[in-house]
Amino acid sequence: MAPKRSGPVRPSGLETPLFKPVSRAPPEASSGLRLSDEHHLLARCRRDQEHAETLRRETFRAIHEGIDVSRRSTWHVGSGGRRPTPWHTDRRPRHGRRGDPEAPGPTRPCSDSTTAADEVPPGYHPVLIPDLHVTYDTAWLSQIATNKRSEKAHKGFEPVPQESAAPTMLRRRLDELRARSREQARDRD
Amino acid sequence: MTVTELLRRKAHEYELTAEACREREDLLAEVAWHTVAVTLREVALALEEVERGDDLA
Repeated sequence: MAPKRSGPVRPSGLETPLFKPVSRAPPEASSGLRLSDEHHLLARCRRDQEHAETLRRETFRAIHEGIDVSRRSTWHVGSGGRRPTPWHTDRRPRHGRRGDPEAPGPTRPCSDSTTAADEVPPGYHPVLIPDLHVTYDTAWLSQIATNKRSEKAHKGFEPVPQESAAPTMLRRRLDELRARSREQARDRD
Repeated sequence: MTVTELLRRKAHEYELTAEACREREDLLAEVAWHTVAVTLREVALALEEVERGDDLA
């Protein structure tokens, strides 16, 4: 059974769906996946891992470049995985005051108009993660990060293993992943 | 739901899938899905660290 898709409640009180319904099932353990279709599963897993790696890489790149990725308003749930949410239709607070020419964020007034939905303002570099339906841009971000953060940016993960991988290697990799999971849990605490 | 929460939820879904693969003794698939989950959690953790103002190094 797929989890119920509930959207975030924006300041305006509007519910915006986080996900666009996708033609294929989400990765649920019980019923969503065709667990018998090994080839399909692994191909999809690799693609998801590529997306996750893209997200990781772009996030750390943004941190390295001093972009404030902590601002929730800079993240946008994509409208169907094709293009980012139109920047000017988002009512959430922006970095800087509207109308302030010195502000790094957009200075144009917010509008509900969708006629310019495809318009991308200068400095807008969307990174779209199709399977996650998450887009983020750099237009509204500010400088906060230090260079030390870049050290972690280069710490990546191994790709999804190939089918030819030896069982001993897989078990070792699994042990590493579990250890990393525990470490992540501790980090969060 | 924040992006961090979204990432964590997705990671949890991937781990559930990995668990299902373990029950089927499909080691390759288990490792594959677990890899994706860990990557997403790494991103979520990084975002939280930045939000808290922690040094990521």
